Amino acid sequence: MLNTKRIFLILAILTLGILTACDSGSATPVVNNGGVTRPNNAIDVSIIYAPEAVLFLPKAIEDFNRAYASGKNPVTGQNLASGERPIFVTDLTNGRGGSSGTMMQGIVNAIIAPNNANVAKPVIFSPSVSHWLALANYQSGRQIFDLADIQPTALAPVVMAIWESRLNAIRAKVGSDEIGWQDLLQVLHSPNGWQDYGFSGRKTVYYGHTDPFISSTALSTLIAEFYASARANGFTGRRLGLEQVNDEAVQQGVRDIEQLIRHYSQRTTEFREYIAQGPDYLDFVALEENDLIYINQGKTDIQPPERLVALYPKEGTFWHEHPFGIVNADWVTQEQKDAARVFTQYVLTPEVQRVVMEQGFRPANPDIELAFPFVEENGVSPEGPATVLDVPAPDVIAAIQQSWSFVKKQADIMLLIDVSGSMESDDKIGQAKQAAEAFINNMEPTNRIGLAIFSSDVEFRIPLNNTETVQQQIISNIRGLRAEGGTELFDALRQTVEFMNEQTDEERIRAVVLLSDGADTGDQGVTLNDALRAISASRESLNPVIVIPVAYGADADINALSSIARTSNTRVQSGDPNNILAVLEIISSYF
Amino acid sequence: MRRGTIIVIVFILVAGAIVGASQFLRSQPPLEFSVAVNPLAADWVRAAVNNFNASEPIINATQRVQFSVTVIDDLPIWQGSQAWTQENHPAAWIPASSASVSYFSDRYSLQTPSLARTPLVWGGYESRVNVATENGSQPLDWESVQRVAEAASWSAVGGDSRWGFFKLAFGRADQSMSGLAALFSGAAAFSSTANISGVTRSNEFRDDWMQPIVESVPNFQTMGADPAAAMARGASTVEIALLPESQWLLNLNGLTDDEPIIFSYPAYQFLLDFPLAVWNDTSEAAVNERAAVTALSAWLLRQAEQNALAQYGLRPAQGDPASTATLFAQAVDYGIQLQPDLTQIVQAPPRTEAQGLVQWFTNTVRR
Repeated sequence: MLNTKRIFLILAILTLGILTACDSGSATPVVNNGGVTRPNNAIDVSIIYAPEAVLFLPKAIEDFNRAYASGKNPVTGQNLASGERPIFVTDLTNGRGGSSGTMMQGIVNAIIAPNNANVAKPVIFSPSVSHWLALANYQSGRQIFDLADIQPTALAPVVMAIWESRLNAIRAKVGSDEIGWQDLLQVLHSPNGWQDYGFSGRKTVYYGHTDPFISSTALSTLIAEFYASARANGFTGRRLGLEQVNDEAVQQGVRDIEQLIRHYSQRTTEFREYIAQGPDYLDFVALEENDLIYINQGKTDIQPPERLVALYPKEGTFWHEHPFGIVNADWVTQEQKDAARVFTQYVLTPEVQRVVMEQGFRPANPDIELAFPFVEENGVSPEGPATVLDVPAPDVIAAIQQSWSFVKKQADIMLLIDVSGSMESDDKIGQAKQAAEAFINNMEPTNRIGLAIFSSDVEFRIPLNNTETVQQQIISNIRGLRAEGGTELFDALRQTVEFMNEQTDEERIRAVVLLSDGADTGDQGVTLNDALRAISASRESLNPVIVIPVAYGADADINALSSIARTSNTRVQSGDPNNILAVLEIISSYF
Repeated sequence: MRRGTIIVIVFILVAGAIVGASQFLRSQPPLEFSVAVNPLAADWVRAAVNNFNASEPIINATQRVQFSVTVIDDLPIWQGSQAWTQENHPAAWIPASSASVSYFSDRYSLQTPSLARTPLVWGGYESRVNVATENGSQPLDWESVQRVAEAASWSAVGGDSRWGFFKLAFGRADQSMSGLAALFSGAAAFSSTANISGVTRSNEFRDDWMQPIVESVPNFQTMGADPAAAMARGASTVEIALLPESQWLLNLNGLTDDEPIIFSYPAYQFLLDFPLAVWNDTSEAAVNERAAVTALSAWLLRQAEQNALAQYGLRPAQGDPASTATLFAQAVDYGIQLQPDLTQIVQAPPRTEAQGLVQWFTNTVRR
C-alpha cells in the first residue's frame, strides 16, 4: 500500500521526468578549436570588399560566424529561434580585400563573359564607393544591384592629404582657409614654385593618385578634377554631363591639374606608405580620410616627419560609403539575399560600428556619436566636407574613366637593366626578362619608352620613342639579352640620367627604372657621387628626373641603391626571381 | 486497489498521453511558409515571426507551422521583376501600401487591411527650412520645396551662397514604395486634391513641376536604402527630405548632432499602411497555407506585437503610439506629432498610371 507521502514523491519524480521529456532541446553548437566551423545547415553568404575594409570586416565576419556557430543570432544576441537557420559568411578575398574596379569587372564578367579569367561570384560586393555598383549596372546593361537598396557601412570623404606646412603656406598666400584645385595649381604656375611660398629646395609640386579604372579614390578624384575644371570653364550646372567631359577646354584643365603628378600607383594603400616618407617624396596625395588618420596615428612603416592634414577641396568632394551591394544574379538565391541583409544589419550594430570608427571611418550608424580619432590633432575636421559633389550618371562616369589615357600625365621612361655576369645565377636574367617584357606591355601607348643595358659597358639599345613605335623592338631586344661581364652601375646611371635631363618636354614624367643585382665594378672612374650629382642636377627643374632603383637579389648593393633613392626622393624596391614580375608590375602602374 | 495507487496510475496514463501526443506532434515536421515584407517593416516582422515560431503555432488542430521572412520592396513585385509562381511564392505578403496589393491583385488578395502605419514626414535642417519657408511664413511642404528646387541654388532664394545647390532626398521612386509615395503626395499638392487619378500623367506636373524636384536629389545611389541616415552626415549631403516617419525616428540621434532639425507633415498625406495579403488560391491544396497566414495575421495584430511597433518607429494599425513610446517622445520637440492631421489621405492612382509615373521617373533620373 502507498502512503500519501510516497504518492507525492512518485508524482514529483514523474513530473520531473515528464518535463525533461518535453524539453525539445536546442541545436548543439558546432565550434572548432581556434577557427569557426561552418554549421551544417548554414546559409552561405560570400563577400568581396575593398582593401580599406580589411581594417574592420575580417573581424566582423569572424565574430558573426562565431555567434551563429554557438547557436546565437549575432544581431539580437538571442538563441536561434525555432526554424531559424544559421548564416555563414565567407571572405572570398582571404582577408586582403581587392581593388574595387577589378572586382566590379569580375562580377560583370561573370554575367556577360563567364569564360573570362577575371570572374567573381559573390553574394555581397562592397566597393569603397557606390560608383562601381552603378557602373556594373551600366556596363552589363542589367540591374545587378538595386541602387535604392544598397546600405552604407563605413563613411570616409575623399581628401587631399597634404603636409600641414604646405597647406598653411598656401593659405597664407591665398589669404583664405578655403583652398581648391586652382590654388594648388597656382604653386606650379608660380615662377619659382614652392620657393615662392617660403620653402627652400625643390620648386616643383609632387602630387599622386592611383588608377581610376581600379581605385575608388582615383575615380572620385578624377571626377572631382573634371568638376573643378568645368567650373573654371564657366559650367554652372549642378551635375557634370557628357557635354562637359567631352569639352576640350575642360579636358585641358584636367590635364593641367595632372601636371602636378609625380607618379601614379596601383593602390591607394601604397600611396599611404609613400607619402609617409615626407614632403621630399610627395606634397599631397588623394586618399580616403581614414588613410590620413592611419598615417597620423603612426601606423605606417615609416613615421611621417610632420603632420598631414586633410584638405577638403572647396570645389567639393565625394563620400565613400563602403556600401554593401547584394548581387542580383543566378548564383544568388532569395534566401542568400535575406541572409546578406542580416549580415549587413550586424555590421551596422553599435559594436561593429565602434570598431569602424576606431579604424578611422565615420560610422554609418547615426546612433554612434562621432568621437576619437576624429579630432583636429589627427589632421581632420570633425565636421567633414563642406561641399559634396553630385555623382554623375553612370555613362558620364564611364566617359571620365575613358578620358583617363589622354588627360593623365604622360611619361618618358628609360628601362636600365643590369646584364652583368652575376645575373646568370638563380635564373635572375630569365625572370628579369619576363618581368621587363610585362613592364613594357603595360605601358600606355602615349608614353615614350627606351631601353639601356649595362655590364662592363653601357649601351643605349633603343632610344626614347612612342610605345607604339618601339614596343616590339624593345621586347625583342629584351628576349635576346645575355648576362656576362662586369657592372658599370654608376656610369650607366649617370649617362641615362644625363640623357633624360636633355629631354626638354617638361610636361611629362621623366623616369629611369634601374634593375641591378650587384655592386659597381666599373673601371671607367665614375663614382656613386657622379651619378648622384647627375640626379641632383635635375631637381632644380619643375620636372625632375626620378630614379626608381630595384634591388634585384641578395647581392644587390643596397647602400648605393638607397643613396640613389634618397637623392631622387624615391624608394628602393626589392625584388628576387620569384617576385620581380610583381615588382615591375607595380612600378609600371606609376606611369 | 487502493485509491492512492489508482491516482498514481491515472496520473501516469494521463502524463504519458500528454507526452506521447507532444512528442508525436514535434516529430511531425512543421509546414514551412514564407512571408515577404517591405524593408520598412522588416525588423518588426522578423522579431514578431520569431515570437510566432517560438510559440509553436498549430493550425487545423494538429499541424505545426513555421514562417521565414523575406525582405523585398513593393515595386519589384508589382512591376513584374520578381517572378513568383504557384510553386514558389510567399504565402503572405506585407507590402508598404495596400495600393501595391491592388496593383498585384491577380496574385494576392487583401486579408488584413493594416498591420502598422507610418506617414510621410518632411524633415530639414533649421537653417535651410527657415529660408525655404521664408522664416516660417509658409509651412515646410511641397510649395516651399518646389520654390527652392526651381531656383536650384540657395543664393537665388535668399540663402547662404556657401550652401551651393539645393540638396533634397526621398526614396528612389522606381525602386521603393516610399519614394513613389512621395511622388503621389506631390501630385496631390500640385493638383490640390487627394484624388490624383489622371494628375500624374500631365506634362505640367511631371516636366514643369516635379522634374526640378527630382533633379534636386544629388545622389540616389549614394543615399542608399536609408536617406535619413545619409542626411545624418550633415547638410553638405542632404538638407531637406520627405521620408517615412519611421526612418526619421530611427535615425534621430544622428540627425540632431550638429544643427536642429524641423519636422512637418505634408498636407496631402500618402499613408503607408502595411496590409497583409495572401496568395490567390482558394483550392483545397491551399487550405493549410491560408490557415497559416490567418494565424500569422492574428499574431501580428496581438496587443504585444502592436505595442512593439513603436520600438521600430511605426504606428499601430489602430490608434496612436503611447506618449511614452521613446522614439516618438524624443522627437516631439522637433515637430513629430503623436496625433498628426491625417484627414487628407491621397488615393493611389490606377496601376497603369503608377507604372507610367515610375517609368517617367527612371527616364528623368537617367538624364
